[in-house]
This record gives sequence, structure tokens and C-alpha cells, in this order.
Amino acid sequence: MASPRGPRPRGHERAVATSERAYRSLLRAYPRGLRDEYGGEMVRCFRDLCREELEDDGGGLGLAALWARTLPELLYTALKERSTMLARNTYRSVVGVALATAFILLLPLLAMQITDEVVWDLADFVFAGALIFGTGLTYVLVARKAGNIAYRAAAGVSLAAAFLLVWLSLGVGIIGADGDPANLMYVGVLAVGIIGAIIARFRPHGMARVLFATALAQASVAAIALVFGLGLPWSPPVEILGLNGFFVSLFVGSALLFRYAAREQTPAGAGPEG
Amino acid sequence: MGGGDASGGRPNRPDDLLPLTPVALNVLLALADGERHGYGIMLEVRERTGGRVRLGPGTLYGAIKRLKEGGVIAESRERPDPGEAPDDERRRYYRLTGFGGEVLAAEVERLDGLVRAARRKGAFPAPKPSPEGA
Repeated sequence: MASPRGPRPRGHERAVATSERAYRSLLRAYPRGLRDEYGGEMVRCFRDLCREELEDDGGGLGLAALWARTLPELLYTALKERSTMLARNTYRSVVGVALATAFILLLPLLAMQITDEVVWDLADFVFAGALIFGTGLTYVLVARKAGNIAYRAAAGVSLAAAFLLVWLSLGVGIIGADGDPANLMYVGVLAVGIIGAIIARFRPHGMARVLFATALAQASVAAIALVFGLGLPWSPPVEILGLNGFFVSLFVGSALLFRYAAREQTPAGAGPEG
Repeated sequence: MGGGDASGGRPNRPDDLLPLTPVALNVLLALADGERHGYGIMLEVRERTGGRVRLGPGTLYGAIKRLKEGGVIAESRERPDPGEAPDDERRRYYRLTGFGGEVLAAEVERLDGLVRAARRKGAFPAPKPSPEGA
């Protein structure tokens, strides 16, 4: 198990160094955990293999053959490690959030046994369950990538705002009575947030801008409702201003937290990277 | 194992980890007679299999990670070959744990049982095709 040793031609060492640099940069394909723990060892192994190929087989052909073996292996094992990690983490998250959702849904179920004020049918439970589970799972998956508390807080505030927005606009109606089509404008607000977050790849700088844009979209909905007198007489202007102002402040607060998270970001990063 | 089933907590019994993947079995066999670093494991496997099995760094360290998590192998502080390359101090050596020895023995026993069953059925060495069936 001796390492290849002895005096080596300078050309060989240059080729080894170049290959080593290339291999080191390709290691980014692996999950961070494996890279941090074994990346140095993997590079050392690969360097030994490079030297061995150059010395035993005498030249660039051996090195080329090594690369031809290594690249597919690297791609395959990186995908395997990533999918294993994802499956493991996602399974735990899904189970945790599902249990929390079930516990929360027990509350209205119990309330229905005690009082006639709470009347939920199956569709209500399904809707509430899907909303709580979806919001919870999104938070867990996004927060897991977070490198600091500010990022987690920002994600929590923005998701709580989105949850309330869906709940209120579809459940009771923010503008006008229950079922007023004006409430569909809030779908646009949520779309700004969701599409923006995907484009920003959940990185804190980008997320700050996305949340400011979402707040602007929310304010625009309020302005449209006020200008065109939507929701009257059930929703007076003060109510529209108050409710929408509440959501605008949540989105702006979340944007400021994301901005703070971006400043605080350590090299470990809050972005969704390996 | 080696293929990745040491995900949730450590297994209690060697049988929980069987069957081993070919990679995991090769790594354990490489460590059966002494401690080795990653490159040493690669060389041992390649030599023992006559070059038919060549572990790449990604395959090897993925397996090492899972075997370590499962308590089958551990890092060793020993440096069995003091005359190694100058960077050898930074190399990490691995060894079989007591549990790892039990896992390897259980897997070898399992494979031995398979081979014996194959022999009983005349499948080892491969049966010659009958003249009628040819």
C-alpha cells in the first residue's frame, strides 16, 4: 500500500497538479457533508492514482484512461450520495411535519365535540391539512438550508404571511364577502413570491428583493380594491387598508430579515447549496 | 451497507447489515488483515481481484462513510507503515471494529452457505448442458 514515490519528472508533476485541481473542483458535485469529511482524502487518493498511472503506464494515455474511469464514477456516486441524503432528510421532515399537522387538526376536531360554533366538514379538514402540511414542509426544507437565525426567521415570517393570506382570502375573503372573485388577485401576490423565490434560488439577497416585490404586489391589490370600490359594502376602505397593511408589513419585515441574513451570511452560507 | 442502509441509527446485530454490497465487502476484506488508508484499500482490492475491481475515490469514500456510520469500521490513530510518503501523516487509516469483524464473518458465512447450496444442486461448477437440450 505504498504511495508512488521516488523522483518524478517535472512534466508529470505538472500534469498531476492540474488533474488534482480539476478533481478538487469537481468534488463540488458531492454533498457538503461528504466533501467536508472526506474531500481531502479523496483528492489525495486521486493524486496517488494520477502518479501511479503516469509512472506505471508511462504518460498521458494512462492519465487519460484514469479520467475516463473517474468522470462517470464521480457523476454516478455524486448523484447517489445526493439522492441518499435527500431521501433520508426528506423522509424525516415529512414524518415530523405530518405528525405536527395531525396534532393541529385535532384541535378543531376536539372543538367540534365541545361546541356547535365550530363546524368543519371533510373538505375543510383536507384543505386545512394540505395548507398546514405544505407550509410546514416548505419551512422545514427551506430552513434546513439556512446558515443563520435571521434567514430562518425571514422564511418563517414570509411563510406565515402566505399561509394566512391563503387562509383568509379563500376561507372568509379579505375583499368583500366569502367567495368574492376579487380575492383571486391574491393568487397573483403569492405567484410573485413563489416564482421569485425559485428564480432567486432561495438565496438571501434575492429573497429580500422577492419579498419587497411581494409586498408591492400586496399593496397594489389594496390600491386596486380601493380605487374600484371592490368588496363594498362588506369591506369598508379602512378594513381593506388594515388587512392588506398587515400583510404588507409582514412581507416587508421578512424582506428586511432576509437582507440582514445576507449581511450575516457566513461562508457556510444560507443559500441552498450542496 | 456500503450501498447505504446505515441511515437511521446504528444497527445492533451483524445480520441487520446483510447482505453487504460488493463494495462494502471488498473494503471489509481489505481491512481484515490490517489497517489501511483509502489508497491502500484501493490497491489491496485491485491486487486481490486481479484488477477486475477498481474502486474510485467516490465509490470508496461513500462506502467508508456509511461503514463508519454503522460502526463497522473506525479511524485508527496508528500509522502501520512509518516509511510512507511525506504526506502520510495527514492520511487517515481505517480498521475493522469488533462489530465490523462480526459483520464480515456473518457475510462470509452467508456466502459460504450459498456456495454450498449451489454445490448441492450441481450448479457449481456450472452444470454441463445435456446432449438433448443442446
